[in-house]
Parts: sequence; C-alpha cells; structure tokens
Amino acid sequence: MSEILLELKDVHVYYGSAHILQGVSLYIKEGEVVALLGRNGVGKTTTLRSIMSLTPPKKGSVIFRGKDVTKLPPHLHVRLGLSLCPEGRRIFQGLTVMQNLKVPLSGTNRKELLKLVFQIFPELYERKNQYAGSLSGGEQQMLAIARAIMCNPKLLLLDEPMEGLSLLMVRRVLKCLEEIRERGIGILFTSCTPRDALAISERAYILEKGKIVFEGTKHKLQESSEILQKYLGVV
Amino acid sequence: MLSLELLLIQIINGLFIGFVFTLVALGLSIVMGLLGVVNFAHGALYMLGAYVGYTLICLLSQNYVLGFISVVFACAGAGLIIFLAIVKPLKSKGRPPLDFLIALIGVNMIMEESIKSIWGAEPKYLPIPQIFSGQIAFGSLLLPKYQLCIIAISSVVLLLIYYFFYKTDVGIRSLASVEDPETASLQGVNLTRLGLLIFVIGAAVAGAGGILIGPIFSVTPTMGIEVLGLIFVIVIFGGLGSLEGTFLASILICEIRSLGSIFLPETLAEMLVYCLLLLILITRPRGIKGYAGILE
Amino acid sequence: MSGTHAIILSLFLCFLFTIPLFGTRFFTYTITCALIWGILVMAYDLICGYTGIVSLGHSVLYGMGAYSVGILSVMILKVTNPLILILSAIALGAFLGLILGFLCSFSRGVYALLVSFAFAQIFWLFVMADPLHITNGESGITGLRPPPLNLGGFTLDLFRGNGLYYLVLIVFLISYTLIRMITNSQFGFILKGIKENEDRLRSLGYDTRQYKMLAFTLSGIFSAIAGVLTAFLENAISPGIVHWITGAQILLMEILGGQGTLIGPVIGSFLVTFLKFWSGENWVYYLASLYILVVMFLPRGLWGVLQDLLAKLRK
Repeated sequence: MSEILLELKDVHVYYGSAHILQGVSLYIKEGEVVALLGRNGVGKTTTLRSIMSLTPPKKGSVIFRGKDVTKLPPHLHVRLGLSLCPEGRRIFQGLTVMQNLKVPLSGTNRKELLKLVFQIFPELYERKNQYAGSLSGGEQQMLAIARAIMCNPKLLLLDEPMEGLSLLMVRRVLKCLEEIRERGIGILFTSCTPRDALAISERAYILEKGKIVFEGTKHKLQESSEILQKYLGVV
Repeated sequence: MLSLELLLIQIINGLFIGFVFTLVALGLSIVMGLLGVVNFAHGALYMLGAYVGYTLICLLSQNYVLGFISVVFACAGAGLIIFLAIVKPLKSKGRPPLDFLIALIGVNMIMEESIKSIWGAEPKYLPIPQIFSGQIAFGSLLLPKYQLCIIAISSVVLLLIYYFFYKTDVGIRSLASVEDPETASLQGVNLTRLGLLIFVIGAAVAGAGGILIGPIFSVTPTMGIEVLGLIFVIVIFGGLGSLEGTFLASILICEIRSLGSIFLPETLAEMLVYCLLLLILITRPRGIKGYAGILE
Repeated sequence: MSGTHAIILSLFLCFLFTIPLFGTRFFTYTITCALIWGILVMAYDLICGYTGIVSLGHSVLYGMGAYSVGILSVMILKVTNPLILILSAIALGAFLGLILGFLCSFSRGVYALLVSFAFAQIFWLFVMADPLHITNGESGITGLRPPPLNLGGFTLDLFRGNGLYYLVLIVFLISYTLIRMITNSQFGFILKGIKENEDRLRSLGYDTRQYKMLAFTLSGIFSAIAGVLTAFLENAISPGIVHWITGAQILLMEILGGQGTLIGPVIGSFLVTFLKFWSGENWVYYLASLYILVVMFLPRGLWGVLQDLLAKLRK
C-alpha cells in the first residue's frame, strides 16, 4: 500500500476579493500519475501555485510527506522534494540550456540528475550550450520539465505541459512523463484536454469554478461521457 | 584648436569614467532587477567610498592598498546595515518598489549629512598614487597614466564579474532571479539571501568606484547626488540586470559626455544624456538588453 | 462635516488669521513657508495620492513658476505688475505640467518616476547652464520685489511682511477649496480609478492619458502659484529649487502626512517646515529618520494614524 505523498485539505484561495479555490481537497500517492482537469480559468494553475505557496491558501492545508507546507516559503519546497514546472514554461531565456539546468538546488545529486535528464531528453544534451531563448516550443517545454527534474523531486507538478505543442511533441512529452514515473517520481499535472491526460494518468480530478466535481480512476472518467461533455466540453 | 592628443585624452577620460561607472552601475542594476529596489542610497555609498579612502590614505596611513581594502569593507558593511535595517523588513512586508525608494532617500539624506558633518563641506583632494601618476608616451602623444591603468584594472575586475555571473552557481542563480524571480524561487533559490549578497557586493563595488574616481575629481559631499542621475541613466539604458548592456551603456554615455564637453559646456552635454534617458524610458524602457523583471 | 470637525476647523482658521498679531516675525515666516509648501503638496497629492503617479518632477513646476517671476521682473522685461507675473507663472506651470503629464503617461510605476526624474534633471541643468542668459545660472536671481498696490491713497502691500502672509493664507484656502472640488468631482473619481486599476478604466473606454495630462496641468497651475509666492517671500531664487531633491522633499511631505487625503500632505508640510526651521542644526537627521520610520511603520501617514486614533476614541 503506497503512502500518500501530497494531500490538499479544503483549500481556499483568494485573489483579492475573488474566491478562486473554494474548498479543494485531493491527494496523490507515491508513484501515481494524477491529472487535474478542467476548462480554462477554473483554478487549475492556482491549485498548483498554492501547493508551492506562491498563492498561499487562506483556509485549509497542504500536507506533503506528512509535513504541513501550507505556509512554507516557496523556495523551501524544493528541499522537501516538491517541484513545479510552471505554466508557459518560464525557462530562463538569457541563460543556456546547461545554465538553466544548474539553477535548481540539486544538492549532491547534481551529476546523477544531469545524467538522468540527458537520458530522458537527449536533444537537450545536443543543445546544452545553446541559449534557451532560441529553442523551439517543444524543446523549451522539455527544458522546463528537465529543470523541474533537477530539483530532485519526489512529486513533480506540471502546469499544462502539453499546451501549444504539436501532436508529435505531445507524444514525446507523454513518453518523458512515463520515464519519470518509472523512476518512482509521482506526477500531478493539469490539462484542458482529457484524451492526452488519460493516456498516462491513473486517476483524475475535475475542477469546475474552484471546486472538485469529479474524482475517480481514468476508466470511470472515460466511461462517463456526460461528465466529459459537461465539464470539459468534450464529446 | 582640437589636437589629436586632446581628442585622445577625452576619449580615454570617457573610457576611464565609463569603466568605473560600469562597476558602480552593475551593483545598482542587479539589485534593482533582483529585488525591485530603487537604491537611491547608491550614490551615497559611492561617496562613502571616496571619503573613507581619503581618510585612510591622506589622513591616516599613506597606504593605498590598505585604503582600498578598508573602503571595500566599510561600504560592504554599510550595505549590510542598510539591507538588514530597511530592505529586508520592507521586502518581507511585501511593499511595492516605491516604498523602498522613499526609505532609501531617507538613508541617502542621513549618509550625506553625516559625511558633511564629519568631514566638512569643502572639497578634499586625493592624490594619485605614485606608481600610477604621470603620463605614458605613445609616440609623440602624452596620455594620462592613471586613467589608463584604472581602465586596465577595471577590465580585469569586469572579467572577474563576468566569470562570477556566468560560470558560478550563485552567479547563474542571480541572473535567473533577475529575469524571473518567481520561477527562480520555484527552483529553490532563496531570493532574500541572494539579494543580501548582491546588495552588499554592489555597495562594496560602488565604494570602490568612489575611491578610484577620487584622485581625478575632487571628493565633495555632493558627489553622490551628482553621480546618481548618471548611474540611473546607465542602468536604464543598459537594461536591468544585463552585464553587457550596462557596460555598453556606460561606455557610450560617458563617451558622449566626454566628447560632448569638447564642443558644448559640460552641463549641456549632460542635458543631452537626460534627454536620451527620457527617450529610452518612453520608447524602450527595458533598455538595450534588459528583461521585464520586477519593476513593471 | 460633523460638529466637532467644524469647531476644530474654525478654531484653527482663527488661529491662522491672527498669527501676525501675536506671533514673532520668524513664526509668521515659518507659517508662511508651511502654507506655501502646503499649496504645493496639495497640488502634488492630486497626482500622487489620487492618480497614483509618483513624480520627482514637481520641483520643475514649482521652481519654474518661481523663476518666471525672476525672469520677467529682473532678467528680461522688468515687469512689475504682479498680476502679469502671476498669470505668466500660471501659464508656464500649466504648460510644463502638460508636458510632464504627457511624458509620464507612457510609463507606469518606477519608470514613470524615472521619467519625472530625468525631466527635473534636464531643467536643473538648463537653469544652471543658462544658455539663453535668463536664469543667471548658479547664482540665481535676486531682487524680486513687486511694488505695493496703490488703491486711492491707501497702499496695500501684499508682497512683503504681513500683507504677504494674508495673501498666502487666502491663496492657500482658495487652493484647498478648489483642489477639494476637483477631487470630489467626477474627474477626481476617474483619477482615483486610474490609481486603483488603470487597465480596467481603459478597457471601459476612458482615455487615461488625457486624464493624466489634465491632472498634471491643474497640478502645474497650483505648483506654479506656490512658486510665485515663494519668489515673493524670499525675494530671491536659486537653481536648487528645480532640482529633483526638492521634488523628493515634496514626495516626502506627502508620504509623511498621508497620500490621497489633501489634509494629510498639508500636515506633512507643516511638520517638515517646523522641523526644518525649529529643530536646530540636526534637522536633516530628524527629518530623514522620520521618513524612514513613517514608510516602514505608518504607511498611511500621520493623518491616517490620527484618523485611526479618532475612530478608536469615538468607540
């Protein structure tokens, strides 16, 4: 029976006076791949950001590996093994690929992590001295994921990792996430499109207007077309 | 009559000031990009360096090396105090950049007034060290030795700074934090601690700039304010947090001033510089090579 | 306005009107300065506290208003009619305000501040360099002394001594009333909206640039008036009046007193003026420490603190 890695308990997040997350509860177990689905603007990004305390919850708690990290300053999450690959990639354009990979605090594992990263993303090795700003969209996404891996995470959060990518690139990213999962790293990622998400995730949550409206295995979701239609606009 | 020698001397002067001001401006630029702090006390730190240097070299020992080292430590210390007393508390309260500005204007006022009361308001003269004094002959031209040597030394320092930022982990993290502080913190970078380091180093370098310039221009209680405007122009023109941009901007602007003063009175040449700043702020506030960062 | 407010206000006004009768000349001078700075800082509050643009360039609007008096009456034309001097200053203040507003409207926040900073530097250098030979450079202009008005045998000297004090006081009260009317109007409402969320106003179709420019123009008029009064008070002007440091002092008075309240900044101007003249040779330290403390611990300024105290007392 694998441990619960991350748990959100009744998290409420406000943006000024706007009540963005209205009591979100979810959990991820060790080694699981879970998808957080929902249309644009329902609060998926806010959920991930609140896990990292970038938009700290006003109410509720975030527990990671038994520790309450709700009020922990953002930069300390990496030390505990929690890493976020943010929406829009946000790689450091003025730095080279290699320099981007050196920014995270990898500790003593840096060499092994670099080896792992270049194994999963051989294209990055070829371009290691190229400026990140000159990479293609897909390559930048790979760099963003690689950089998040350099944080030596036990749980990897990814915000819309497949957004704006070609079909080929989406498959590539999915394959990389598979390889990451094989190494025992848990994954929670957000997406608007359930088809790609359900290709690798075991469970899924659906967020609608700041509340969880569905929670279950991927089979359960794939079978209920009305839920897919209602909350994700998919036929 | 404009001789080649005069022209070259002006060019060298421009380069001399340009190199030293690159050092001073970098401290301000990186701090502004990293912390969003408009450090109005930066000019006072530069001035403090000149005065501490003057005190140690002219009043106490005659030792320039000791003087230089004292300046670096004194200004680093002053920077540390300012950071811990003002920048860090305001940062943890999440205050906007303008609050820092006002508090630092207050700091600037205190520093300037203290300098005036300790050393007096008349200008002080810092002599050029013996080994650097005099002229170097290039054929039939006699060029100022001190300025040329400082240009050489500054180049070495700039190369060291370049190495620090692009080859060391701390440096790379600083550049990343200037470009995107939030994402950098997601990678585990402690922005406050990094900010402290950069702030203190920036203060020390500003002070060093003061003592390097000191022998050529006199040491006065107004030199901080006088130089602050120019440094801001350089920082904006070069783009926050950009090493190459700040260097290019500094050389360019100091040369415009230096060469401009051959044909125009100095104040008008400086006026041109500020008109240039206005133009840049309106059309391209990120400067030559800057990032959006924290001030927008 | 509540009963207690009205009583306090009337008492204060009585106090102000009778100062020349019982106060020393120096005390009267201090209050005159405080009132003039009060006009200036209220004009500044319109831009900073209400529209949300922090500028260091108001020293130009203020200083050039003062310089216009000097230029017209001493340097170039030997104009002695005070009305012409005042109106010219107002025109210059409005014009410079318009330009400054236009320049600042391209940027936000710190960048707008740096625009105003550059603006101030340009004018300071212009005044110092004096390429047109109108400002007398570093020495400044002295000998500004408009003649007294002759009203049928009875001379009314509004430009020195107690006469000037009452002129300043009346101009101050009129300025307060007018600026208060502006801030309470629909125009003022839009300005506040610009401070709060400019993008939202723009998406609603408001041309915020025009509003900013108009606000700066109005602010320029009152700033220039303050400048004229300073010129009459001191009978001399020097370039420092245009320097951004003067602009910083205006900003500091505003922050000390409390942004966006009109009364707060006036409290700031009184406090700073009294500190400057009455606390001896260490006034710079007191002032600077006060700024730092207020910014760090009293972000709403002294008026904000006073209002909180009054609210607590009422409970």
